[in-house]
Amino acid sequence: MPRNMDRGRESKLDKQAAVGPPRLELLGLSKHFPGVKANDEVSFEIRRGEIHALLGENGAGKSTLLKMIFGLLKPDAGQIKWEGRIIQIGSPRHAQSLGMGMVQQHFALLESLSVAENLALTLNRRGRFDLERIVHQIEAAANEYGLKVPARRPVHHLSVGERQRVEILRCLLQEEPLRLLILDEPTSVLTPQESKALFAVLRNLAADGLSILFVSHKLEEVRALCDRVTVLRKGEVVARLDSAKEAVDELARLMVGEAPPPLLLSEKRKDAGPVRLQVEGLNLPAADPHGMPLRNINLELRSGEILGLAGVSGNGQAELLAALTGERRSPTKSILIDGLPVGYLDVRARRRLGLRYVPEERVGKGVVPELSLIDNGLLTRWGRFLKKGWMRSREARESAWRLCERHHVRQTGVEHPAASLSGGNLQKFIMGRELDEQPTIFIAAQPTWGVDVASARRIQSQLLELRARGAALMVISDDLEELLALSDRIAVMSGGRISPVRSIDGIDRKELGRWMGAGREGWESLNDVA
Amino acid sequence: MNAAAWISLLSAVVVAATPLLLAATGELVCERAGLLNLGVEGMMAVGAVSGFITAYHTGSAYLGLLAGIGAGAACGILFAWLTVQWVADQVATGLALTIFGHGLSGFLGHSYAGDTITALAPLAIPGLASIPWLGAIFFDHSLPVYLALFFVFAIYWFLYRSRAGLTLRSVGEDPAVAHSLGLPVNPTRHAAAAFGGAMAGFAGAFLSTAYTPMWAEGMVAGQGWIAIGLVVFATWRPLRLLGGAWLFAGVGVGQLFSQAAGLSINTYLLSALPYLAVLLALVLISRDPLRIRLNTPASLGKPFRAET
Amino acid sequence: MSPVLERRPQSSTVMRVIAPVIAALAATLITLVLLALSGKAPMEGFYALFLAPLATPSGWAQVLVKSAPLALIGAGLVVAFRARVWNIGAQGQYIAGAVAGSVLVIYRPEITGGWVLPVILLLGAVGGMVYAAVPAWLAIRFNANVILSTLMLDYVALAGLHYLTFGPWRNPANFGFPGSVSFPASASLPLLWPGTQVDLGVLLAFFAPLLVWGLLRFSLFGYQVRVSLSEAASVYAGFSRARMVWQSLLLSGGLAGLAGILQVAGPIGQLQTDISSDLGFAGIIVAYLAQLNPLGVMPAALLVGLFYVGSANAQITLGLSAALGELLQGILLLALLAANVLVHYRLRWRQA
Repeated sequence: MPRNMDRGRESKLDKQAAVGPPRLELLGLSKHFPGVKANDEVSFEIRRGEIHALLGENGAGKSTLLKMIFGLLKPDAGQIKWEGRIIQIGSPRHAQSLGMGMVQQHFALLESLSVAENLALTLNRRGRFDLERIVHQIEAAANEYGLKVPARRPVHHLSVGERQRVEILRCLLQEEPLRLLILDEPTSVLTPQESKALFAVLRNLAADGLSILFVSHKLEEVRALCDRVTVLRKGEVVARLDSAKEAVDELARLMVGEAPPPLLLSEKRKDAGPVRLQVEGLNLPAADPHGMPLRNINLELRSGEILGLAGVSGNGQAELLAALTGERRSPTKSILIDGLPVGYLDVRARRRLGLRYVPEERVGKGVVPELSLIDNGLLTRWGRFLKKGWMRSREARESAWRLCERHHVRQTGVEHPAASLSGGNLQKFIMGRELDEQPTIFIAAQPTWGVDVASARRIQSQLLELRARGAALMVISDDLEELLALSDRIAVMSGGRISPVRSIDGIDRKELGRWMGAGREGWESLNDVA
Repeated sequence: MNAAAWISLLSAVVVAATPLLLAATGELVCERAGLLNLGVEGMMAVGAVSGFITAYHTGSAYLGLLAGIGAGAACGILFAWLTVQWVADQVATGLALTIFGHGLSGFLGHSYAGDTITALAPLAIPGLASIPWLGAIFFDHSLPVYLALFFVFAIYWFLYRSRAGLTLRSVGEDPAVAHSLGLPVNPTRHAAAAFGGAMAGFAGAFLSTAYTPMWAEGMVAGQGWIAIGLVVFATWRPLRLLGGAWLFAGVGVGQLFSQAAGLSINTYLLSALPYLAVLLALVLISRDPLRIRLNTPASLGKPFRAET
Repeated sequence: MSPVLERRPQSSTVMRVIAPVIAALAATLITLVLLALSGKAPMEGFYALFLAPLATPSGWAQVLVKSAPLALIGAGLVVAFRARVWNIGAQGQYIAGAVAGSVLVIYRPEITGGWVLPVILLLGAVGGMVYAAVPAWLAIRFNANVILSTLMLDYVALAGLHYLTFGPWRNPANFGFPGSVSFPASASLPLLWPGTQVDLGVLLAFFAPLLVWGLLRFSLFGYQVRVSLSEAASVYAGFSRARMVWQSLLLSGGLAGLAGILQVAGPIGQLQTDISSDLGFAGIIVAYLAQLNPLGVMPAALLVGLFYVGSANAQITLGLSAALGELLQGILLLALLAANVLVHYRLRWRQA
């Protein structure tokens, strides 16, 4: 761990020793929903000037707890104490008037408005409308806290890191001086560089006495940044620790309950076969003002190999997928399937050549939620069920049944709409539909995002099986752990460009992190090791 | 054509543009809040008939204007109630209101066909009206003509320089985010729809109390639809409404003038010109999909319900 | 306690079926109130509007005749609206069909032969399709908004009709009145019900919704329309939005054009300035009233047809405004849209 961080923490601990009641104290907070105990007797406290982590997996009860703290939900039992006094937090406005501020995962920003206009919506609600004053306030805060943002620029021109800074500024500039800043999974959308910058700002703020509640499931960050950590599992507090003293493995064990099941890898990776899909010098302008242009993309997908594409969402992955799959046309020779230039071919034509894919958006693209499973089972292979322009409905129904059986999709009947499937089952359905068509080239975007562990394992095994049968695969994911487990070779997508592709053996994580942070302009500044 | 004829023509264009401007300004505000109101044509008809009937019975064209504004606002509130409170489909509801408004106005105005009222008198602005050329073209008209121009600038100021306008733009772009920020989404949309309806009613009442002081079924003649097209043509920016309104009004008026000038193009073919002009203008402006996407209020036409 | 709308976990089929019934009842009620408010006897009005047409066989015949074009137009619009192609131009396509189908008669008024009628009907359908192809092309090529372009073209078509019937196509023997020559027997639809205007066209019109139903249920095109609920999924499936726009506009335009020529070759008998082109808008009402389901088009068309005949009747017997029919339709659609919300939401009473 870098030395300056140790120093920072020591000084904070000194500060904490000299204070009064804790900023926020939760005593036995509980919240039940029909059939589910979201929070069960949760108690912990946050001191002044402390960076406190709330650690837990997806579904551990973190967001429910946050909603109770911020006045969006009322607890069923328990008490909240603010600076020593028992209070009831009736609404977010009330929470704000106490001095709380929250930065959520999905920013509450309006893209077409400028930074100043966005902040004007919630700051200085009473009183004259004065945009210039807000601009001055923003610039003053930028200097004081090191949170530089271009006050007059429309939000849609800002990077994700800048947008997050706007949200933090919103909390800092609110009427009631900020005493507690809550950050919900703040680094899930940041590159490693941006995360580092954020941590520096947070440490500064804490040094001034601000309390910070840092909600996350990323163990390394929690250890690096936070003073103490409360671990949640299945709605209960399972540990309250001084984070510096615990090992990552111990935190992981507390968070998950037991070591995660190991990924069943098929036998030793064979050597890769011939190149099935090739991208050569692909340049594609952005399709819309919020999109990312693709620049000089070169990659190869080989038989019997999984290429992992890492990188934070929004760096051109969607555009690349559209270009590879045919949803968007490209210069003819820039994409080759089995040596054939296919850049001008559409989705159907590329499917006929054996290319299939599973998109990131499941509901609304992977399936049409209002239509039955029968109809959805045909979505990408309706050509097989046609007889002179008419659909063979009996065959379609049987095919949907078989699909669900074969891929363990739990459903209430194939006539029922796809919306009735749960997340994991839906993904199994979509994956099953594509895999049943025996693709020779397969691309999966975020294949296990938000899926329960058992289904996720199943899907990952299916990908490995497909690889074993000689298909050429590409997996796009912002879950680096998953990619490291599945891929044979790995590259990073950042700012519309692809890093050099590396074999997974002996991969240097730090190098991957650097590439992820390269962004639009930083490419040349990196020392590209060939 | 000599100078007098030109002045006459341009002056007529300014007057003819008035109902388009009024209705389009109202629709622009409505759409900026995310509501696609296709009922403008019907609301104008309702405004026209209410204006005429009120003017007929009270003898005051001004009261007729007020009645038209009120009737239009009521229609706007009905639209808001159906689409905002009671999440009905905006496109279909707007169409239904057009048919309803058209039918209601015909029904109510049935016995007034052929009646006359004293039209709204022109109010020459002292001093300005005597400027050669410009005076006659711009400054010697009835009140609604001035108000139409005034509203364009007023709405520009409102949208870009006031807090309420900022709120409205936010609601139109992303009502979910606006709601989470504590902004009053539904009241804003209601107000925008009421304003849109009121302006449409105003435009209609102007038609029946000033422009052609009479009532006839079908007198709105598609101007409500042209106003909606005008909003698209102006890419939802208030100041651009002026150019478009004068353009479309110019085509319509020009057609009449050409007949008077003895050009022997068939009147019926000429009557199609304003609509063809709108069509052409729409095609030209929509050619660049990027521009349309950038400027369209992002939540236009989509329903919003706050999760409680 | 205040009422709150709550999203249903699954949309209610029951509501979907009874919503139009609720709408019809509401429309009737509101109309009676309006009648009373405007000083007319509501019960007399009710009788004239809704019952008198159904009291006699000739009344029924009138309703059938009026419903026929509504069924054709409504069936086509059901397809278009399902595909989210907002074709508001049925009026113009109807006129274009009437005009196109009349060409043969205008230039060869004495024409005879069994082939004449089918050719005229075909020309009518094609005329409607060609006129619908214009907004389709503008939408695909120039990204022009379909609602506005089809609307503008409605007015253009009307102007064109006036031009033709007052000008080059005016029958000189009409004593200066506008209108074309009357259609000769070879170009007129054979009557099915002597003494009325119920002709072959009515039969054809009522088959159309069934054909559309079959098309939507069993064909690839129908599958495409179903998938078009989600734009992204349509792309994923490899369906082209442009093709969907073309196909739905051509189909609905062709049916509207056919409706137009059937009216001219049937009950009207000549190309006039007024060929009931407001049926185009009424067709929109029919499509919605049918809940965008082809099987609902027939009953919906009959109901709206009843409103037409009833209001014409009320105009004659009670001196009511002709606009009453349109007003009724407007109320009907508003009531339906309100009732339809309950398909996806339910009303709950919550503590305020």
